[in-house]
Amino acid sequence: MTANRRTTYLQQLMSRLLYSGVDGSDVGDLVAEVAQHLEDTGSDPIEEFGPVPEFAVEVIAQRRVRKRAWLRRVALPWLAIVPFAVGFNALVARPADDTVFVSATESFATFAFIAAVVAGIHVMVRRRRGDSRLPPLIGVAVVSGLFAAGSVAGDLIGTDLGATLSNAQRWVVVGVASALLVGALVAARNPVKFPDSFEAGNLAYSPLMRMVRRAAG
Amino acid sequence: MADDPISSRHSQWLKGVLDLCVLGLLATGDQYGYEIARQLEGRGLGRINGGTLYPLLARLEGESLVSGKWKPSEQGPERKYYALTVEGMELLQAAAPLWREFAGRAHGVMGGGR
Repeated sequence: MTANRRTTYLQQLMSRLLYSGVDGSDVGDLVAEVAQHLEDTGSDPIEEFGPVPEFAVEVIAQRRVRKRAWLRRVALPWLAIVPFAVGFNALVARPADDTVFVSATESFATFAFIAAVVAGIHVMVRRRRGDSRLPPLIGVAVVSGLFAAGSVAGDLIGTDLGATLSNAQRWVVVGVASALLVGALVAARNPVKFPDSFEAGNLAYSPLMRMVRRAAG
Repeated sequence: MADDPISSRHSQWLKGVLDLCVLGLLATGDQYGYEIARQLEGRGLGRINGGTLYPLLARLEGESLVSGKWKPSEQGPERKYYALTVEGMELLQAAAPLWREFAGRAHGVMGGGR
């Protein structure tokens, strides 16, 4: 068994448990235990623990699952995207002095571009994790859909809002929207806490961070 | 050997009492997951893979029948040691005689098979 195969298994397990709302400290605990068990036995992870989806289901049935896990997966991305979209549209909408900063079409085009970039990163991260829970195209559709909906909501609210604001006021709106965005992202966090003695190595970094580190040389 | 009818029966029996066996082992002292699996195998209960053992330990921990704590092992890195709690001991003491009675009765009924 290669160390790489073991690492891949642990990453997939970690990802699936976190997605299912298992508390980050429980995830770190279990992953460290599984890693140690594999080290002791030298066995293949799939032979010893079974395929990740099946093992994860068994674990999830027994572990503390964070309440309102659906909120983290669905509502918080909305909370994050809608204020961002509203703030953006309030910023670029026709201001009180009747000067058009950015047209609605340009605003939508910007959001479409952001959606494409985020969806691309999403696909890359999922593939790096070897995660097959959702086919990539469905994942792209979900992320793009969220951004598009955020864009529509932002345009409906933000444009009207922007038209009534002075330039100074619109920065206040952007500030509040940014604070809400940061708040939603912080609330959505479920950091993995490994036992102090566990050397997480590659597991400590997200696949995205590893790619960034590798690209940075 | 999953297709072997005797071996398959052995797995079914074990499923029914594995939690009590784990509690029984922990009554003799704190142990970590791999050590528990080795002990069970050494005592002739067959190989218990991690996919069965760790969800069971998580359930026992969730029910406060055992408690887990990371601490240094005699050799090597820190491991999560499981200890029997008072509730776990009470359950073991209540359930072990029931199992013996059940197994005895089943043996009595199956006696004609000898």
